[in-house]
Amino acid sequence: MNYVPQLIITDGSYLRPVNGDPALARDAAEADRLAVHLAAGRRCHPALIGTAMEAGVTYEWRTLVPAFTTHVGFSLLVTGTGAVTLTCDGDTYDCVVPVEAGGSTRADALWLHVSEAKTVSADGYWRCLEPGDAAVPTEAGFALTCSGTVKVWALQTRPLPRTTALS
Amino acid sequence: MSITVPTAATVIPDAALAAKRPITAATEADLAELSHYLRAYGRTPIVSTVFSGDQSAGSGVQPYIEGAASAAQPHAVWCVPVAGALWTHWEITLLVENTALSDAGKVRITRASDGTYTEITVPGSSPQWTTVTGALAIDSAQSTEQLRMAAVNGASGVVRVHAIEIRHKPLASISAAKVADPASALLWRPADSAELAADATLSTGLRRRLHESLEVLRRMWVDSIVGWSDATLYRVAAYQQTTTPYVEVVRIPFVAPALRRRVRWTLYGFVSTGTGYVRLATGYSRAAGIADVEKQLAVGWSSPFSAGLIKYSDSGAGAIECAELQADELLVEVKGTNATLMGIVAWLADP
Repeated sequence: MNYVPQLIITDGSYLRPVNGDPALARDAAEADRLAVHLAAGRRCHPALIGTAMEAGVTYEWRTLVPAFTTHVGFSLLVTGTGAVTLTCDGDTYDCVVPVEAGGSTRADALWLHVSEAKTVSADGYWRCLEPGDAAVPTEAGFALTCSGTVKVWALQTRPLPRTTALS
Repeated sequence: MSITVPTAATVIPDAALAAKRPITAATEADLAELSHYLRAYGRTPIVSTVFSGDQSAGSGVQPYIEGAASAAQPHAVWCVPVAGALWTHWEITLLVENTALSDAGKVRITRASDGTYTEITVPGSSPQWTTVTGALAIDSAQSTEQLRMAAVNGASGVVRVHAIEIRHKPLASISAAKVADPASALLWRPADSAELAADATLSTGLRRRLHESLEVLRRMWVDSIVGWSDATLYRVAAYQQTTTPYVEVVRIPFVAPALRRRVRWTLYGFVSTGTGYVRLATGYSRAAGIADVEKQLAVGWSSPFSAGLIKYSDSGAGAIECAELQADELLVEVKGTNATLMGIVAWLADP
């Protein structure tokens, strides 16, 4: 299956080939649908929470990116004024999210999202990062820095649905 | 018995599975081997924590926790779901640093159920964000497991741990026995290469067996919303409130995959004195009028921190309902004197 299905059949009794019949594709399609859902579907990814990330230091983490991921987006819970810069060890260019949220406590924080799967040739764009496309889950390293008064109270890594066919 | 485990997912073109089209032994083998591949390589992050706010690290912003002379006291604790008997080990990735010139330090990860641990060496002169990895055997008899992390300095210098991620993995991918999903009694069974040979007739049973194996993998995979621990020896706790009404301390958006309609959870927390509570809900459960899950927090916070653990119970006030395939949020609120959330792991499950 060249595209990831959202809906799946999990009850095998729907598969009704008759013993001794030649194997027909119609019977295999549902099994393939479930397999591709698992191999290339987007699962929930654990959010990074805790003490706020703030200017002056670099925060790094490594996480397993699912197979067939071309772009990774982010959701950031932020306060303050400045920018958040994200980088990935498979991508030459960074992602810069300008922040004009104001406030300084978690109660003031707003969610900002990075969801545009855009390939670029320079730093400074508000866009998803490209950790490298692979047919197996791949561990990727990410780094975050803040400028100005920005604090990041939570961060969610979101491997995005693929925009091109699986192959 | 011989099974083939591809090292990458094979994509079967849509045209090969068009309606009424006879499929070849090669396509059939690709399909069967996908279930082997998914067991061997299809793993999901369960714990993902970036550390900060450790009292040993001094004032200011220090994005790490620092080691101690011994592993007697854990620096971080998580209570994680045991993924299932298809996987034998926790796979651990750490970003570390060691200020010693040559003395190696280590990071010990211990499972609380029986004290079994693994020690991951941090070589001397490791600059910040050096990647080190290790593995700890899973006790699949448990339904959840408390994992404790302790950073231990060498004879000189300081070990610092910046971040950790923990996932499940199989020890050996090419030998695999059948495994039952305890919740559904469905079986994961490998497909023997001989069953898929060109002149073998594919039976109804084999086709359904393949589908069942895939379904077992889906059920056993852990879809994690959060896997976080504060520094147990915190300088300033990340989530501490002193109020009478509830205060929201964590709100995490998530989208549950198909058929995942329940949030299971474990958390560590405490109050310094008196009575305190923690309350959990999802946006969906509130909208649907389902009662929040409310639990009392323990009084005090002392090593090894097990007294502060609270976790779901499907037979009691337990898992939280959520919406599948649409935006939802996990909400955590606390109240009480210095009511503190010290760690939370939340993951999705079938109802």
